Amino acid sequence: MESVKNAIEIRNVTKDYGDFKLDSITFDVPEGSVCGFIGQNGAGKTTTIKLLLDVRAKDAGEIFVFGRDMSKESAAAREDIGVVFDEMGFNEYLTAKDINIIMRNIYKNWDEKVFFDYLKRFALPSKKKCGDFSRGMRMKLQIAVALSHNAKLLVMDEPTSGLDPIVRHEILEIFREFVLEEDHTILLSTHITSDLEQIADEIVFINAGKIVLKGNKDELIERHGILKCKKDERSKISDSLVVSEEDNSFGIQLLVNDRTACEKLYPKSVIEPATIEQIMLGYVSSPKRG
Amino acid sequence: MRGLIIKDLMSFRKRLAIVVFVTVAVLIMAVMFSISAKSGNLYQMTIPGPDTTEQEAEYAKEVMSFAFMVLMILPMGAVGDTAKNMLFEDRKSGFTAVASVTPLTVRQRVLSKIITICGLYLAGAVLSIVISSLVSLFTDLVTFRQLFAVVTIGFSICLIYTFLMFDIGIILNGSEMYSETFALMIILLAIFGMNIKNIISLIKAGDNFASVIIEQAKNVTAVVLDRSYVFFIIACVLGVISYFVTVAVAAKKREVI
Repeated sequence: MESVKNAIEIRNVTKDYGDFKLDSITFDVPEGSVCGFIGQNGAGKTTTIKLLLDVRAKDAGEIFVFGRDMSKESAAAREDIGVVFDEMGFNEYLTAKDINIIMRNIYKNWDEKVFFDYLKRFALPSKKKCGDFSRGMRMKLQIAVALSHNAKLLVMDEPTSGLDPIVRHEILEIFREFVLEEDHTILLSTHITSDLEQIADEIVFINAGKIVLKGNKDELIERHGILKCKKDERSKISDSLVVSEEDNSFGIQLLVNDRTACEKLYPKSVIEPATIEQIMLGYVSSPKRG
Repeated sequence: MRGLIIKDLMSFRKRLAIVVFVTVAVLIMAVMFSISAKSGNLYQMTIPGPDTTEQEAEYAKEVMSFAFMVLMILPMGAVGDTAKNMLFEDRKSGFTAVASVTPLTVRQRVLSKIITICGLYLAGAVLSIVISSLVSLFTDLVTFRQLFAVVTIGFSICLIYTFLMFDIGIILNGSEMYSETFALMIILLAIFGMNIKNIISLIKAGDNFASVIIEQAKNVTAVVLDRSYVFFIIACVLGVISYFVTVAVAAKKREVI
């Protein structure tokens, strides 16, 4: 059997800021997949991405991108990485045409044709100062840049936040096309879980600097469930199966971590599949709340 | 690295109009200054007469030639002003984050900034020298050699100031204003330190203040113009130190360039 190659390997990475600590996080992103990196604001998503790209120095641990040790070969590895931030970082006086000139002198594999094709597709003017662009246009410009140097890995930090649904849909479509190529991988940090429902293969969930959940998206959704029961039935349900609980006027709603087991153990209870958002909320609100 | 230099040079475009304006204005002012110093009102001030003592006439001549020399540095300052703000512009726009995820190493990013700073000031110095050579044809106030020395000193001091700003901006992660103020303070303190003897003798001069200050100005100007290369050497040494210090700090701190 052919072993799965990983585009990203993060091993026991630690970063201590004093008031916040990224605590020995470990996860892999298989090549050819879309990995949704989720967590609430301040959970450590951006810090992890910055450590991954070697933009910030880690305190401990190892990070490999396409087998390259990022603490030693980060500059070379970044040829293969396209990065999209939540804010456009280009100076406002630059036009898309200027950016093309700059980038073709930075990236060895810069493809001018691809860049201008994306500009056309996104309806971005090439001679207008990017400071005059709307948020959606700025995001599209960043994506065009990230996709125009034959990157194999796309790392994005909240690329769709603050965008209207039409632009978001358009951008997700581009990501889908990107991963059609077998060796293309995406690490997408977001807290908009509906985007991940559409596009992600893998999910890594970070909370307060710790990885609390990771795995195949479909398996995670398959495994978790929302069990609804009356308040007096709660005591019959094993605590080991419950991730979190919430009271409402009809009874109690539990996020359970083994839907199949629950269905066998409590056949009379209503158990529905959980969404990524419910799973995320459940783990964030854990320990169980009343 | 070439890409970053191009990007920084692109920021110069928005200042082009200012540079053209300053250059033309300096040329016009220099010509008017020269004509006036040859046969106009300024000339009258340099001739001892019933209302002007010999000392005052000499003082006026010194001040005029000094003002003339300062005028020649302005075009270089206009070009170089772009260089001094580059680092902080990148921080404001967020380009520092963009640059840090490109395949460029910290060394390359620092070197590109230093090359652009030197390149812009050099272009400004060339512009000032061209104007000086033209203007020196029309005046006896200063020679081309003196103007060349003044531009060299101006070029060196601007470089020293920008390197200091650059270092303070990176080492202390200071804002533009903070870095500017500190760099200026360091230079002023250095000038103060070098002239402490002159300052003391000026304080002690009492009624002879005017004659002492003229004498000192003459001496200092002569020494400084004769040794303009010293300023250039200091700027070069500081540039090299700045490169190594900045690389070391930026590699440790990250996201500062």
